[in-house]
Amino acid sequence: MRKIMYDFHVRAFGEELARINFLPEKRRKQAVAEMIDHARKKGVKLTRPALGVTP
Amino acid sequence: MIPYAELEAFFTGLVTTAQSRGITCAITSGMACVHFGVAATTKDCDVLCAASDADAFRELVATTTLRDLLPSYRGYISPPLDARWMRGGWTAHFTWKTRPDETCLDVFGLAPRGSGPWQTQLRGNYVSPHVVAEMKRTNRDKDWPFATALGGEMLDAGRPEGWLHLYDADVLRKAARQSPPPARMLRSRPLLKLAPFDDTLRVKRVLLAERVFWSELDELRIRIYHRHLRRYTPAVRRASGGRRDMPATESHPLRIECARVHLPVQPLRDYGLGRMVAEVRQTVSVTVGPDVLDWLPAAEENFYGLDA
Repeated sequence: MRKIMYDFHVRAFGEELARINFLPEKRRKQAVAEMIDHARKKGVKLTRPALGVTP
Repeated sequence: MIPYAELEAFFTGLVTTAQSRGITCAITSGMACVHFGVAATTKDCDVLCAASDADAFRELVATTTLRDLLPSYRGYISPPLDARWMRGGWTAHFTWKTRPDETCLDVFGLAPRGSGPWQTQLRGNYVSPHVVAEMKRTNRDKDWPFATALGGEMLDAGRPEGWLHLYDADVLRKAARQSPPPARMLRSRPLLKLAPFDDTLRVKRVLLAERVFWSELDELRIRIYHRHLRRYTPAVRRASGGRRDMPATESHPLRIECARVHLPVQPLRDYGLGRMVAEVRQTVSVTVGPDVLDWLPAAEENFYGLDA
C-alpha cells in the first residue's frame, strides 16, 4: 500500500511534496514549516477568508 | 513574521490546555493533514469543539495571548462561539492581529459531512484521519487528493474505513489487488461494488458522479448559511460601531444579540436534509446522467449531529 500511495502522492502533489509527506513526523513537520515560512517571506498570503461556516 | 513552528506550538498548546480543563476539542483540517502525512500550506488552525464546552473554550481562547495580543472575532461575519449555533453547524472565527499577517482560528462543533461523533475518534490533539477525510469532500478541487491520501494512509495503517476516501481510479484498482473492500462498506459507498475496479471507464464515471455530488452538496450547504449572514453581518457592524478590533469578550454579547435576530440556529435542518440530498441528486442526474444515481453514496448519514 505504501508504494501505491507514494506513486499517488507524486502524481497528485509532485515529487518534492511526496518526498516530504513520507518523511518521519518530526522531519516532515520541519520541512512543511520551512516551506510555509519561505512562501510567506516571498509574500504568499495563506490566510483563508472567513465565511461564517467551514467549507 | 511568526514562524510556522511557533504557530503550530501555539495552537497545539491551546488545545492541550483546553483538554486538560476537560474541554473536548481537537485540531482538524490543514494542520491535521500535516500531522497525518499530507503537507498542506496553511498557517491557520481549525478546531472542532464539543458544543457543550463552547463557553469554557471561548473563555480560554478570549484570554489566550499570542505575542502579548488578545484575540478578537474575525470581521463582522463571524457568528458567536455559542453552543446553540455550533449545534447548527456555524463556525466562529477568531484572529490575533499579528504582523505582517494575522493569525486565525476557526472553531466549529460539527464536522461537515461527518458520519459519526468526532469526539470518540481523537488522536491526542487531533481528530482522526477519517473525520478529516470526510471534511475534505468539498466544492474545492484542491481538497480531493487530500481525501485520497488520507484514505491510503488509513488503509496502510489497517483501517478499512480508508476505502471510503479513495477518489482515484488507479489507487482503487491497485489497492483492491492487495485486499478487496469489506462488504459492510458497500452501503455507504456503492462504488465499492465495482471492485476489483478493472472496468476503468465505469469507475471513472462513478468517481466523477461522486465528486459532483459532494461538491454540489457543499455548495448548497454554504449557500443556505450565507443567505442568513447577509443580514447578520451588517447588524454586527452597526452594533460594533464600526470597530473591527473589539476584544472577543466585548464583542461576544453583541454578536449573540445579532444572531438571535438574524441567524437561525439550525438552518440546514430548517431547509430539510432530505431535500438537500434530493436536490443535489437531481443536479447530478442532469450534469452527469441519470444512470449514475444508483451509485451515489447514502449521504443522509453524513449529517451527524444535525439529524437529531
